[in-house]
Amino acid sequence: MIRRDMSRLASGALALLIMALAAAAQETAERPDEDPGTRAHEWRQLRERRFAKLVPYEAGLVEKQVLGFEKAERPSILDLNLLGFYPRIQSIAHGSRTAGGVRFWKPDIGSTRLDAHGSVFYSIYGYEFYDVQFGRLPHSGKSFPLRSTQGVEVYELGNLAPGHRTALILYGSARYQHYPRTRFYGTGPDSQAEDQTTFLDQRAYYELVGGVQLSPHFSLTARGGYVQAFVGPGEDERFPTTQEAFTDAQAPGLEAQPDFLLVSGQAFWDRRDKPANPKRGAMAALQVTHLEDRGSEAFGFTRIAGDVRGFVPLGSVQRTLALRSYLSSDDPENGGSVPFYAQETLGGSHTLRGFPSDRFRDTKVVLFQAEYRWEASPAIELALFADAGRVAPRVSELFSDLEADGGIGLRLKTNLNTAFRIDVARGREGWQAFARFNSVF
Amino acid sequence: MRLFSIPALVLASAPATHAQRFLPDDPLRVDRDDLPIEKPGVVELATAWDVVEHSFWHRPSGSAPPAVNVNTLGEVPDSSWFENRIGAREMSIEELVRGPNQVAGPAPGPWTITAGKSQGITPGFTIRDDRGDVYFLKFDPIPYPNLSTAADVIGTKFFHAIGYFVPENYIAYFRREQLVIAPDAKVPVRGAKKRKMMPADLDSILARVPHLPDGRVRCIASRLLPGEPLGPHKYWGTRRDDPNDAFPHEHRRDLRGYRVFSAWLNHDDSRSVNSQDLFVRDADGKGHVKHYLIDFSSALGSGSDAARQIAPQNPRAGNEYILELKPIVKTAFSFGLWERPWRKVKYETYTEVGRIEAEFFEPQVWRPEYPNPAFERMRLADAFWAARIVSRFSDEAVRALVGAGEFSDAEAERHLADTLIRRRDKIVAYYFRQLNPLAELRIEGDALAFANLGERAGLARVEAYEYEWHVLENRTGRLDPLPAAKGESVEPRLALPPGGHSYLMARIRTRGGETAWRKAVDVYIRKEGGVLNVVGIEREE
Repeated sequence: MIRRDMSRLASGALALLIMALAAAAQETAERPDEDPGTRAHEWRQLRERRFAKLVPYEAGLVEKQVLGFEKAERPSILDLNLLGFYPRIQSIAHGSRTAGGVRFWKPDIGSTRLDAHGSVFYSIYGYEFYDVQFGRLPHSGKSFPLRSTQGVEVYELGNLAPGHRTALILYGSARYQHYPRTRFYGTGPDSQAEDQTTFLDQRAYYELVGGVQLSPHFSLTARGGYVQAFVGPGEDERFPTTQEAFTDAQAPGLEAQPDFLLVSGQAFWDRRDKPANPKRGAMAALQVTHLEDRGSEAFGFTRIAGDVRGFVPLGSVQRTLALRSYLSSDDPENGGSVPFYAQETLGGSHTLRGFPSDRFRDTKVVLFQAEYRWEASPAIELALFADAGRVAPRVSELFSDLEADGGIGLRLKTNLNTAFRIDVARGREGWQAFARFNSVF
Repeated sequence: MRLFSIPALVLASAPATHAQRFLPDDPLRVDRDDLPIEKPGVVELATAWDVVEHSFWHRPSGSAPPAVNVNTLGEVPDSSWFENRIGAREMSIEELVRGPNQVAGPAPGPWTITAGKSQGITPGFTIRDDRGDVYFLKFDPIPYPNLSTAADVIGTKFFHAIGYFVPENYIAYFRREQLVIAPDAKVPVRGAKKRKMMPADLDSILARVPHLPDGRVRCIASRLLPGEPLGPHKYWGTRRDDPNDAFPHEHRRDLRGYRVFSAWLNHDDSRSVNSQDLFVRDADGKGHVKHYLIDFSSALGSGSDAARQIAPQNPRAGNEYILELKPIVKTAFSFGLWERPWRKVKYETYTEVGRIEAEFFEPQVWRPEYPNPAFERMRLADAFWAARIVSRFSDEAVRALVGAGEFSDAEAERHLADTLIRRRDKIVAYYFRQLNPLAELRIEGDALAFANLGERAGLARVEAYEYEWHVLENRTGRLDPLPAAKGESVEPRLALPPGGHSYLMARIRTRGGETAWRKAVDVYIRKEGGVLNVVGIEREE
């Protein structure tokens, strides 16, 4: 019995062997030029050995994520939104530290070319910012609109990328800001660093903004509205509050803050090659703003400000000399005063970089900035820079004994923007370092 | 340094069944890498990750080993990657210009749009013509009519003639009325599911492309490749689920030499994403993988600008990687006073041709967009193989292939052809000076005849060829000098030594001309059935 089974097994094994050999022979017969001992056979053996360990390609974790974005299976992290609400992490103002919030953005609603925008932000230092705009906002494609966060410093039309400029803008805007650690060292050029105080700067703006792009290089903007202000004690416990250290005479508007009517006009001429990453060209802006005191009539004033910037390639597109001069003059009405909280300031990441934010403030401000920028690569730019500026109560006192600083900067850039920068500068009061997600000028 | 034409990796990995130098079927003319296999998986590569990965990984350390997919003559056998064409035979101008094309382009009549385009920097969509053939359509940007479409077609034809597998790319013209959107056509939407394609989508695409005065639109129509797409191939490693893909890509001569061809044609976009593997099924359902190069729209003078729009080539293209540390450091620490030499190049630019030149061009330092593992491992023997193929393109052939771009500006066409001819000459001049450029080795009567490609190209005059004859014992690889069988020959022709040896080896050095021409070329001759043939060539690198 066992012998019979063994015989059956042997027969079966033999049959399998014959079948295998036959299959092999058939395979070989298809390729007679691959007989053993040939180069073709040798190469074929290399391949046949690979049959035993076939492994499909498996992308790594990072590659999978990148691929997902590239295939548009998922939006860019910057495009993540829920019904037009975009989560964001950013700063609100100088000294606010990191803020978290949400922006709402609905461009071209129902193909009407009307847009809606709003934002809500709260920082770890208790800064708050809320705003809402509706109308025809300055924007390029689906990108967020360029809107003023401080009322007067943005020339919306000029900051849009060339070729995408909106011929006409018209929108209503409401904005509320709550800045509880705003610095105040006293007014005038002789304020002392050790006199630092902080105050709560609370303001609300209700504005109507209109603008027209008269040519590819020239635009006009006008804005009118109502401004409410409130000054309270600062919340930075390291420093005294402004109310404790200064009087209303030293800081006009410290005790009472009227409401204002605001009327402003801006003219903007721009011949820069790329507004947010210029290599050549120039721009000039002139702004006239009048704030009408709606209470005591003691604080109304008119501000005239001019900003001129030039960009000169130094024999190569990788070397640029960037120059800026800024002049602002506030003239109070009827012998009154300009509220200290509304005065222009110097110091911080955009002006005198060797000094802290809002280090100097007064009714007249002049600022000169020069940067020698050189590209180590299209995405990496370095800069040696110098700033000089001064605040004063009178224009005649503005151009002597300027505060100065110098430093070096590293910028990471896209083609159109500065994505990130670190500037380190030294002024007479020591070193300052700034990390920002925008350009200096 | 010695190069052994017999693939080193093959010998290393093969069982030690023999030590003999040459096998009966050497030199192998066809690499049968088409064993029937199951369909491999589809590979998807992230382009951004590809840049990072290749910039920081897969860089060579030390000198690269010799290429592995070469026969004993140092040639690349025909395979699923490469087919010897102009390098191995004469090609007529008509054949060169026809390239891979099998038809005359999309059939006249309505074209049905079946899908919008989701990848790449040029706008486009997919159509099905009246014959049922499927084509991908891509367009030029309004400021640069003909720029990318001409580059794509010209590049296709050049790379086909060289020997690569490429799509059938046609320049085609159509009118808006010809287009019909299929009911199930979809367009991709970033961050959302694809949605039904609407006439507005088509109008949006066509609004961004140039129209001829008569209202027609010019496009590149790329015919659907025959097979099932498997995604791109990488330039390192192997496709691990394809048994036929036995040779690491970075050690394939056809991929290493691709660097020389890309340098010639300024194809800086010669990266993985511009390749396509296809599964070609046999009757029994199994099949094999065939490897294609696709998309030459960023070759020659065509490229893209910083906003990723089709535009004349960035001056950096071909001169510096996207991420290259050395120039960054040099510029940074010199306060920008050190300037990249390529920034000073003056280009003769034409709207249709873009930015390409031959004066500053140096083939040995030319670079693609980012490091390519195969390119970085290219050895002189690989480059010589490629340069010899480049040298086979006559002026007439270059002009005919450039003419396939259907430029409207004759001056632009002439400029491009002249530039390519000068770049070809630079490639020949450089690589034929790096080693002893003997080729066309053959037995003529009772002599070993050959040609010095360097002298033929006018690089220098040869005084004589020094030679030594050896007897090869093929079984062991042992070489014994033949007594009194050395000397010089003024002619590129060496009389065969007497005797009935089965294997002979002639070591030849060129005297006169370039220094590198002193390097040895070892030529192996086999006697088989009374007939002598050249069976092996080894070049000293």
